[in-house]
Amino acid sequence: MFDWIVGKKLDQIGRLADPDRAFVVALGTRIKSELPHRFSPHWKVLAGSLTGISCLLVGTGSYAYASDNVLPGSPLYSIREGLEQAETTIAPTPAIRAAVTVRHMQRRIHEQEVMNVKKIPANERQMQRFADAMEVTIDETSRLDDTEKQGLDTETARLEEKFAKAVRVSKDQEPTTKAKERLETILDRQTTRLQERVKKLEEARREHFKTLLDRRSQAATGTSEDHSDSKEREQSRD
Amino acid sequence: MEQHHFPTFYKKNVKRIYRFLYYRVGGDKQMAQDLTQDVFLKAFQAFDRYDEKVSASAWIFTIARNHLLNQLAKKKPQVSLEEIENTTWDREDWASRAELSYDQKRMLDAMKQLPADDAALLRRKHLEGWSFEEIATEMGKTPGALRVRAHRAIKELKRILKKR
Repeated sequence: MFDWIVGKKLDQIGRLADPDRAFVVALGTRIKSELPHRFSPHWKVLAGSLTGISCLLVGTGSYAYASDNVLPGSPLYSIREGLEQAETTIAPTPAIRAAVTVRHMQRRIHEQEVMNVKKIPANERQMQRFADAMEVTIDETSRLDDTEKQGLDTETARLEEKFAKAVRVSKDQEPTTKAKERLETILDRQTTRLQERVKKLEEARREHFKTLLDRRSQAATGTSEDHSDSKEREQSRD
Repeated sequence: MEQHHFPTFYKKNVKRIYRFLYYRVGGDKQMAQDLTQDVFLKAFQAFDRYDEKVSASAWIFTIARNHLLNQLAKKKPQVSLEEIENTTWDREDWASRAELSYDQKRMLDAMKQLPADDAALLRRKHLEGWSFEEIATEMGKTPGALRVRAHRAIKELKRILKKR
């Protein structure tokens, strides 16, 4: 018999005394369960990356939304527009939506003022969007009842003045006559639209008072004096 | 050492510790399992205090030996380490429980005729499954010297078997 055979036979005897596999696994599981909870390095890297990406996204979003340096034409400006669009969409009532639109218009005007100070020329498309935003703001505010307006109409009127001023300054800064003419066209278009809306509003108001007077005359079965008095009163108020 | 390294340490040593205890409790499987569990749970509690400079095998082996001594002392006071190392080894019951073949029984009988140190070396190496490096650390000798000695012990064992 070779020496190594004796060694192997002893190894075989040793293996007879091996523990049951089930016992080894069960004890191993129990030990693992008593280990303090610890994340694997892979999870740590993943969690770190996700946190980093989230911070980056939130940081960029906040910067794009709030910074004065993000102006029309800037790469981050579309993020601001997206966030504002979302803000308008989730507004639950017309009054809140109008308030949000007014706040956005304040920002648009502020942006235009900053651009004017920095002497950054606004292109035609930007100016058109600026004018559209003003119009949307007026629409949103005019749709509200008197009780819902709560100063929004006054603020809109103030914004309209500021808007006109900002556009005028922007126009004056334009170096070429052609560009000035383009801006002038936009301003004219805007003025025409505003005049049309004012006309419509006046007509609507006149209709409203007419209806009111008709109702009163029907209700006043009494003297024609009363009727004429009230008519006079209504006219004077009108 | 940090506790999250313990499962690896456990995998590496569980068989050896079990075998060591199994032989010394006369092949009582249930008792060997209970003792193995106690030893590893004790080691787990103390693992953060374990010094890496000390051999891991020697460390767990010391825990196992002391625990066994404490357990046996409950049944038989005044038991010594030496007694555990030798007398329990001489007990025949584990061999009968393990259902050894005729050849295997002959081989174990022949081992008893070897000098005590040689028999202990073969037992550690082949029956319990320690490496020469680990035995050398425990015994304070070089692995090379132990290899030579184990080789001679096997030759002697072969000679004893032939003579029978």
